Amino acid sequence: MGFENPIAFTILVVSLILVVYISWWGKKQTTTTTDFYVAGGKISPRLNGWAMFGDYCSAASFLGVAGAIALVGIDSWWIAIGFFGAWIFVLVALAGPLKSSGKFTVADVLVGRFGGRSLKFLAMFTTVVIGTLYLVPQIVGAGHLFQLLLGWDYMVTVFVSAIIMGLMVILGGMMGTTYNQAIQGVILLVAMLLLFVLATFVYFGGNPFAIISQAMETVPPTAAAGVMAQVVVPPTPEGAYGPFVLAEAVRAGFANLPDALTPGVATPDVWNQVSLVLGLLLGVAGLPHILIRFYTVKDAKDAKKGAEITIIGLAVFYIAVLFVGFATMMILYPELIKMLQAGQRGQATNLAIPMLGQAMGGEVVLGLIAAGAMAAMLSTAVGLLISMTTSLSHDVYAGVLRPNSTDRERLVFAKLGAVVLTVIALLASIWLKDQNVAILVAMCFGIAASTFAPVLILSVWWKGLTKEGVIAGLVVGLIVSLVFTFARFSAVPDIMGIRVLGNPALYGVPSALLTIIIVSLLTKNTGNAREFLAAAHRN
Amino acid sequence: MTNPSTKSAAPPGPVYDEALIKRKLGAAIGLLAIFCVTYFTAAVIATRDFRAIGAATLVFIVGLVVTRMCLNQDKGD
Repeated sequence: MGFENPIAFTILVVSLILVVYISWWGKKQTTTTTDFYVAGGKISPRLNGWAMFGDYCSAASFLGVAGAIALVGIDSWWIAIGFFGAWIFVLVALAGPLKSSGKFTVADVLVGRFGGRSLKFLAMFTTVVIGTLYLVPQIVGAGHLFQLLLGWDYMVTVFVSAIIMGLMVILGGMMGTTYNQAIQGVILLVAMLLLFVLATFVYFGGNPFAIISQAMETVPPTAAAGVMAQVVVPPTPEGAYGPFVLAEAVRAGFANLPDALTPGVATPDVWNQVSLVLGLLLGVAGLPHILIRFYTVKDAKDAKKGAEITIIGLAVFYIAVLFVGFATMMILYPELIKMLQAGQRGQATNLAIPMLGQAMGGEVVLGLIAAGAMAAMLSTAVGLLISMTTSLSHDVYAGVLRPNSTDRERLVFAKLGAVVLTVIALLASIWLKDQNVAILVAMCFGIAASTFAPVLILSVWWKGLTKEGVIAGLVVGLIVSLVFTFARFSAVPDIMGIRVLGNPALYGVPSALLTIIIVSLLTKNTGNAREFLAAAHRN
Repeated sequence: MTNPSTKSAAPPGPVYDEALIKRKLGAAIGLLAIFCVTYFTAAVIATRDFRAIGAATLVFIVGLVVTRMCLNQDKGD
C-alpha cells in the first residue's frame, strides 16, 4: 500500500491530530457523566450554534449533495433544501419545549411524561437503530475519501475510518466534541465557500450566474454516460479536449436529453418528491444526535439562539452547494462520465467534491477539502455515537439494568457500546458502498420522521397523548419505515402492491401519526400531562 | 441562620397554564404554516418546472424570516 497524495494526506493527518488534541483537552474537563453527555449544560449559544452546524453538516451535506447535483442536476438540491427546512421546524415546534422540559434524551422526555421501562427501552432501541444507520454514510464517505487520498482498497479504508470514529468517542466527551464540532463547522463553511470562489473565478470569469446558465446547456453525466459511444467530439489544437468541449458535444448531438436544471431526473414524480421533502422536514425532529445539543445550553432561549446561528449558516452553505455542484458537473464532466461507465458510481458521487479541489488547486486544496470532509464525517459520527451511547448507558444500564451503578461503570458501558455500534455500522457500510451518502442520510431522516418526530411533537404539545399511543406509534412507524427502507436498497419495486418510493416518509409518517392519534383517543393514560406540559412551556 | 420554615419549603414548580400553551401552539402553527406552504409548494413546482431555483431560493428566504419572527416572539414573552 502506498500514499498517492502525500501532501494532501499530511494536511489531513495534521487536522486529525488537532481534533484528537481537542478531544483530549475536553476529556480533562469531563469529570461526571453529565459533563460527558451534555457538557454540564455550560455551552454558550453561539458556540452551540456552530457546533450544531458542524454536527449537522455531515458527509451528506459536504460531499453527498454537491456530488449528487454534479451527477444528476437540480433534483438533488432538494435534499439540501430539506436539510435546511427541517431546522425551521425544530426551532418553531421543538427546541424551546424540549430544553425547558429539562430531560437528557428522547427516552427521558417520554419517560418524564409517561414513566415506565418499556417506553424507555423502546425509545433507546429506536435511537440506536436510527443512529447506527446514520453512522453508515459517515463511514462510507470516510472510506471513499481515504481511498482517493491513499489509493488503498475500500475494505481497508472503511475499516480505518470506523476505528478513528470509535476512538474519538472513547477519547473524549461532549465538551471536547462541542469545540471540535464548532471548529469543524467553520472549516466546512470556509471549504465550501473556497470551492465556490475558486470555481467561479478560475472557470467562469468571476460571474457565479455563468455557472447556472452553463448548467442549462449541460446534459447531466448520468444521462450522458449512456450515449457516449455516439458522441462526436471535435478535435482541438492540443489534440485533447477540455471538459466544456465534451459537454457541448453531448448537448449538440442529443437535444432531447435533459439539462442540469431539468426536474425529474433523480426524482421522477410528485409522490417521490413529496415523500423526500416530508421525510427531510420532520427528520431532524427525530434525530437524537441533534436533539441532545439543545441540552448543552442554559435555557430554552439560548437553545433557540443557537438554532438561529445554525439556520443562517446552513442557508449560506446550501446555496453555495448548488453552485459548487453545477461547477463540479461541468469541470469534471469527462472524469465523472468515465467513472460512471466503469461502474464506480459510489466513488463518482461521493468524491466529486475532493476531486474538484484537486483539479483546481492540486494536492494542497485536495488536502484542505479532505480535511473539511473528514471534519464533517467525524463530528457527525462522534455526535451520533455519544447520543447513542448516552441512551444505552443512561436509559438502559443506569435506568434498567443497574440503577445503583457508579459514574465510572456507566462510562465504561457507554464506551463499550460505542465499539459494538461502530462494528455494526462498519458491516452495513460494506454492503452500501455504492450509495450516495446524501441518499443514505435522507433515508435515516425518513425513519426518524416516522418514529421520534410525531411522538416528540405530540408529547410537548398535546395533552391527550397517551402512553399506549406513543408505544403503538413508535412500533408502527419504525416497522413501516424500516421495511420500505430495506425494500428500496434491495431494489424491490413494491410491497403488497404498494409502490416503494425513494424515501419511506410518505408511508411511515402518516402510519405513525394515525396510529398515535387513534390509540390515544381509545386509551386514557396521559401520564403526568399537566406537570410535563407546564415544565415544557414555562417562560 | 436560615429560617427553618423557609428551608423546608419546596420551590414552586411551573404552573400548568392551558391558555399560555394554546397561545404558543397557535403561534407555532402560524409560523409553521407560513413555512410549510412555501416549502411544499416549491417542492411540487420543482418537479415540473425549471424555475425550481427561484422557488427553492424562496424557501431559504422564508425560513430565515420565520426564524427571526420566532425569536422575536420569545422577546415578547
